[in-house]
Amino acid sequence: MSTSNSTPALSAIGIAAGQLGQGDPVAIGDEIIQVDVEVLDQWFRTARRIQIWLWQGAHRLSDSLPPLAGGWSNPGPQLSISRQRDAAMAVREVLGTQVAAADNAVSTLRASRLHAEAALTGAQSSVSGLGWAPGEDLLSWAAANDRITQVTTVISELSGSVNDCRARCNEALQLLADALRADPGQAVDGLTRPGDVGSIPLPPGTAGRTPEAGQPSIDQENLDRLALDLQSTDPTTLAVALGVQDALIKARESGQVVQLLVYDSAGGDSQGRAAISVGDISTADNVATLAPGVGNAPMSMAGGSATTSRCR
Amino acid sequence: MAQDLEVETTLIRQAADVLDDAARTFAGDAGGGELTCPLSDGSLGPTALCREVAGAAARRVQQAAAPAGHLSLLASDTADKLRTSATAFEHAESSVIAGPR
Repeated sequence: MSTSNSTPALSAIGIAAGQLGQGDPVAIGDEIIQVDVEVLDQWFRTARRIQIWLWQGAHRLSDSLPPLAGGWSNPGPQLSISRQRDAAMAVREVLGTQVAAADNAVSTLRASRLHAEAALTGAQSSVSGLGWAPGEDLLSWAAANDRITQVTTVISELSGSVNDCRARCNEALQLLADALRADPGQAVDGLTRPGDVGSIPLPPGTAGRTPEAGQPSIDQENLDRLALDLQSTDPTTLAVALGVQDALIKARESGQVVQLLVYDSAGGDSQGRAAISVGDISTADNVATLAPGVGNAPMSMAGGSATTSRCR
Repeated sequence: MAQDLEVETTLIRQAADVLDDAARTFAGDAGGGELTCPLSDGSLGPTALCREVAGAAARRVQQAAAPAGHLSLLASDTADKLRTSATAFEHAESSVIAGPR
């Protein structure tokens, strides 16, 4: 990075401009030259790389759709992946606007730096060409040598040139500032977080389980009904549902696979029914059944779960 | 109206493999590390506008890397779920109880 102010001619021009009541064109020129354009360009090269990842990633998501459509007639998984792809493209679009504005700013700042350097060099040459000797006060010398018009012309042309450059830089930076107001991450805010159940409609019984722990899903309908009943406003339905839920939680404490084999909602004429297996009934060699006494109800079956676990 | 579910687990696993590739693509060469912006407060000049642009540029590029990483995790998570589903479908199919003879 160069500072043009170091030459005697430019120092003299700066002082003369001040004496004429103008802003220092050399200082403005230096300010333009010293902008670290390369760092801005380097930083937005990172943004361009992210844009490419987003574009290619979105295309790979699209590539997964045909085999998935052929492999699973449920449209849910495809919709979920399509949403991820659309979000990737939306982020890329916002980032693209910002990268374009940054590219424009970088090229404007670079061009302005060249213009400012040329204007300062030109002014320096002009003053030297008039016969001014370093060390003399420029305006005093110009007055004494009938060169006032030429010197003031050099100063005003330099001022005009660097002020034009500064205006172009400010315009480009303002456009970049406007583009940077949009948050590129907003498009993914509505997507499900990784690990959440629900972004893909898993087959019954697999929600939240690893493939190694995958279990047959013979109880999903019952679990779904229980989940609905846990939202019920009917006190009987809700009380029985809570009792069954407690029993399931208690049974799971044994570390075994737990299945809700039977579940009928309570309410109306029904007292409700529930049967819970401790262990996977679809792979069991033998099944032992524990029937609680007549005084028991689904509402209080949690106690039976512990007994069942001990039977294993 | 209920509709039969048609499943071909080989194709589901194939889709999961493509999703894994998408996850790697979204992650790019960031390696999960945080990007460090080389722009400082005065890099673009001393004015308020220059400082505003330097600050916003640093923030926004980092914010653009975050959703790319998030999409990578989502794609990977979706691939895992598809494999889990395929395994569950295969398990369910193999454990269907035969009808009475």
